[in-house]
Amino acid sequence: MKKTLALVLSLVMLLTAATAMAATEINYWSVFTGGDGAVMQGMVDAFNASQDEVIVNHTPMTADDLYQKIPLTVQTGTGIPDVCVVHIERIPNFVDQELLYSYDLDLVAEAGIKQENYNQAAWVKSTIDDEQYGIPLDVHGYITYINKDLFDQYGLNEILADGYITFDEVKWAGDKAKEQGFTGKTFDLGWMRAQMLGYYAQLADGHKLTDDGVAPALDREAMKKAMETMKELYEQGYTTTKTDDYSSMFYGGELLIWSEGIWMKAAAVDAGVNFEMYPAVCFDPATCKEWMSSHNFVQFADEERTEEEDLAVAKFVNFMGENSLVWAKDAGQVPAHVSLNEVAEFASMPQAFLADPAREDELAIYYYLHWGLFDTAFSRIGWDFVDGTIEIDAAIDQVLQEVADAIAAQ
Amino acid sequence: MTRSKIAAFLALAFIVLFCFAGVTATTTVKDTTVAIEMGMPKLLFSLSSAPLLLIPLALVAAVAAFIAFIQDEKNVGMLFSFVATVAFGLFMVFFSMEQKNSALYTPIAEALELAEVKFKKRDVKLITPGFNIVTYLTLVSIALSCVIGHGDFSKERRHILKRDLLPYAYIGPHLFFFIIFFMTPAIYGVYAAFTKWDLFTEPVFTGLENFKTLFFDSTNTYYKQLRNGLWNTIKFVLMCVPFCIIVPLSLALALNARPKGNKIFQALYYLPSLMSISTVTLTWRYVFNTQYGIVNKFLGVDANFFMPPYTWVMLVIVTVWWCTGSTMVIYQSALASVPQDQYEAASVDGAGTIQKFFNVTLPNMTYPLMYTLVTSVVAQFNIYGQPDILVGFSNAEANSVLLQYIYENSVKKQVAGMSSAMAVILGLCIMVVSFIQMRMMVKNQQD
Repeated sequence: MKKTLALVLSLVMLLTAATAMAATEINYWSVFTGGDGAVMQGMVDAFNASQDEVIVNHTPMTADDLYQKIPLTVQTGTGIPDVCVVHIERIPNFVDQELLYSYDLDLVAEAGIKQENYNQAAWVKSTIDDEQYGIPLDVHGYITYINKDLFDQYGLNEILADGYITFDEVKWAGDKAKEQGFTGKTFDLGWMRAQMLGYYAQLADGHKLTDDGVAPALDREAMKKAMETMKELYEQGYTTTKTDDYSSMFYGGELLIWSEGIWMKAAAVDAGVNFEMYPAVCFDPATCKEWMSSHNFVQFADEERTEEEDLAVAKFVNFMGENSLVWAKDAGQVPAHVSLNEVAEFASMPQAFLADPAREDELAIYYYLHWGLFDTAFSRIGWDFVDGTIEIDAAIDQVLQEVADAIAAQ
Repeated sequence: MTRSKIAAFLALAFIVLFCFAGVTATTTVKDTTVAIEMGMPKLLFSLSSAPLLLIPLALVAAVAAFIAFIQDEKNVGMLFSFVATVAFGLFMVFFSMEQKNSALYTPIAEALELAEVKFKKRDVKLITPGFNIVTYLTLVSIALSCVIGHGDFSKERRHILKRDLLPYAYIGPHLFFFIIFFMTPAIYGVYAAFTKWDLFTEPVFTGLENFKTLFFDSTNTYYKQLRNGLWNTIKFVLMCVPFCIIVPLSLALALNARPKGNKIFQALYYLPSLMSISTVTLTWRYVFNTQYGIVNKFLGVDANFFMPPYTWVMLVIVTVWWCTGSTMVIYQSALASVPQDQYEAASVDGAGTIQKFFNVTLPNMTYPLMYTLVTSVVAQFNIYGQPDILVGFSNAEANSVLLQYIYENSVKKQVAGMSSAMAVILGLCIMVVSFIQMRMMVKNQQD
C-alpha cells in the first residue's frame, strides 16, 4: 500500500514538475513565403533549438492573405497569433481600428529589447501617441542592381563613379551598349508601385500621400514628372515591356540595369550573375531616395494572451533581431538591429549601404492612415499609364478618387 | 379547437413573438457596469455572428410548420416545429457562449460613452449576453407547438408517418445546409447591399444610397467600376459562350462517329474539366508567355497575349479548353439517344450529312443545347479566376470583370455594402438572362 502511495505521489510530483517546466508555446504568422520564407523558418528553428522555454509555431502566408485574414481573426477572437510580422505602413490603420496592442516597454526590456538597439527610421514610424506598436526586423526597399560583366564589356563603369545612377545616365548607358551590339534592354519596369513611390519621394518634398492625415493627396507635379519619365523611357525603347520576365533577363545578360527589391539578392547570387547594388535610379543624386518599408513584429489584440506569453514573444523578437545576420545574408535584407552594423560580414554585403546612418534621409518609408486603400488603387494603374491605356492626369485622378470613395463608402 | 389549430397558433406565435424578442448584454469597464438590450430582428441583420445563421432556418421551419398544421398535416407540422425548436434553441446556446459578440459591441460602446467612461476597445474584455423573457416565450411557443401538434402514434399511423416523412429525410440534409450556408448568406448579401458596411462594425442601413451612387453618380469610382466591369463581363460572355457550345458539340459529333481510339480522346477531352482553375490558368500562363511561350514560338510571332485586345483571345481559349469536357459529355449522351430510324428515314429521303445534322440531330438535341446554353451563360457571367490569375487586376479599363471589382472592394478594401450592391446587380443580370433562356427552352419544348 505504501509502495503504491509512493508511486502515485511520485507520479503526481513528476507531472507537476513537467507542467511547471512546460515550454510556452507561441503562434507566429509572417508574410514570408518565397526564398525568404525558408530563411525565416531557419531562424525560427534556430530560436527553438537555442532554448527550451519557448516554442514558436511559424505560419507563413502571402502578405495579401495575411492582411485579409488578420482583421477577421481578431474580430472572431479565436486563433489570433501571439506575434505577427506586418509591413510598417499598415500599422497606423491597424492602430486606428484598435486591432493592435502596444508593447509594454518595461516587459520587453526584460528580454533585451530597447529603442537604441534598432534602426531609428523604422522604430519611430511605429511609435503612435507615445506607444510602441512595432519592433522592426529589417528595413528593405527597391534599389538598383547592375550587371557588372555587361558594364565592363561595354565600358559603362564611369556612371558608377559617384555611387548614384541618374535617368540620364541610364539612357547614356543604353545607347552606348546598343552602339556596340547589345540587343537586350537597358532598364526594367518592375513592381511599378514600389518603383514609382521611390521616384515620387525624390521629387515630392516629404513624399506625402495626404494633407490632413485622412483624405488622399499627391504632389501632382512631382507624380506627373515621375510618371512621364517612365513613359518616355518606355516609348524610347529603353525599358522592358509588361510581360518581359525582367529577372530572367538580368540573370541571362539581357538587362543592364535591374530595378528590384533588395530581397532578390539571394536569387541573383544563386543565378550566378556578377552584380553590384546601388541606390534607386534618381533624377538628381542630391535628392536620391528609395521606396523603403520595414517588417515589424506586432501583437494583435487578444484578451486571452498572458503576460508569460508576452514575455516569450519578447524573447523571440529579441533573438530574431540579434541573430538576423542570416536574414541579411540569405534573404538580402538590412537588419534593423543596429548591432549588426558593426559585424564585418554584414558591412561587406552589397546592401549594407542602406544601413549607413548618414543615408537615413534617403529611406522613404510612407506613413498614411489609409495606406492599404492607396496601395490597392495605385497598384491597379501600375502599368496602364506607361503603355497609354490611361492618360497620366487621369491615372492620378483615378487613384485619388478611388481612395476617397472607398473611405466614404466604408 | 383542434390540436392542429392550437399547434398552428403556437407556430404563428413563434414568428410574432420573435419580432419582439431581444438579447441583453452587460459589461463592466473601469468599475462601471452598463447593460443594453437589442431587438432580435435588429440582431438578425447585424451580420456579425455565426449562430445567427440558425435563426432563418428556425423561421423557415416555423412557417412550414404553421402551413402544415393549418392543413391538418400534424406529423409534418410536428417535424418542422421540431426543426424550428432545435435551431432556435441551438442559436440561444451558441449565442450565449460568445463572450465578446461584435454585434453587441457597438451599442455597448455607445452606452459606455453615454456613461462618460473613457475606454479603448481592449478595455471591453467581456460582454455577457443574455435573453429577455420574450425570447424564452418564443422558444417555449414553438416547443409547445411541437408537443401539442404530434400525430397519432399507433402502429398504422407510424407506418403512414414513416411514409410521409421519408421524402423529407432525403432532402433534409441538403435543405439544412442550403438554408444555412447558401440561402441565409444570400439574403444577408442582399440586405448588405442597402447598407454602409466595413465588415467589422455593425452595418448602417442606408436604403437605396448605394444603388443611387452606382446608377447616377457618374464621378464616383464605383459607378465607373460597375459599368466597366459589367461591360467587360458581357463582352466575355458574348465571345466565350458560342465557343463553349460549338467546340464541345463538334467534339461530341466527332466522337459519336466512333473513330479509332475514341475512348482515349474522350478521356483526354474531359481531363481539363477535372483540373482546378489555378492549375489551368498557371499552365496556360506559360503557354502564352511572350518570350518563352510555345504559342508565339509555334506561330512565329511576337504577340503579347497579356495586353488587350489579345487578352480576350487568351481568356476565351483557356475557358473553352477548361469547360469543354463536361459539356461534351452531355452532348454525347444526347447524341446517343437520337433514334437511329430517323437517320435511316432521312437517308431514304436522300438527305446528306449536313441535312441530317440540321434536320435530325439538332432538333433532337434542343433540350441539352438550351440547358448547356443557360449553364454556360451563368458560368461565364461569374468569370473571375481566369483574368485574375492570368493577367492580374491591371488594365483597369480593358479586361477587369465585375467579380474582380466585387471581390477587391469587399475583401481587400472592406467596402462591403457597395460591393454587395454590385453583386446584387450582377445577380439580377444573370437572373434576367437565364429567365429569358428558360422561357425559350420551355417554349421550344411545347412546340
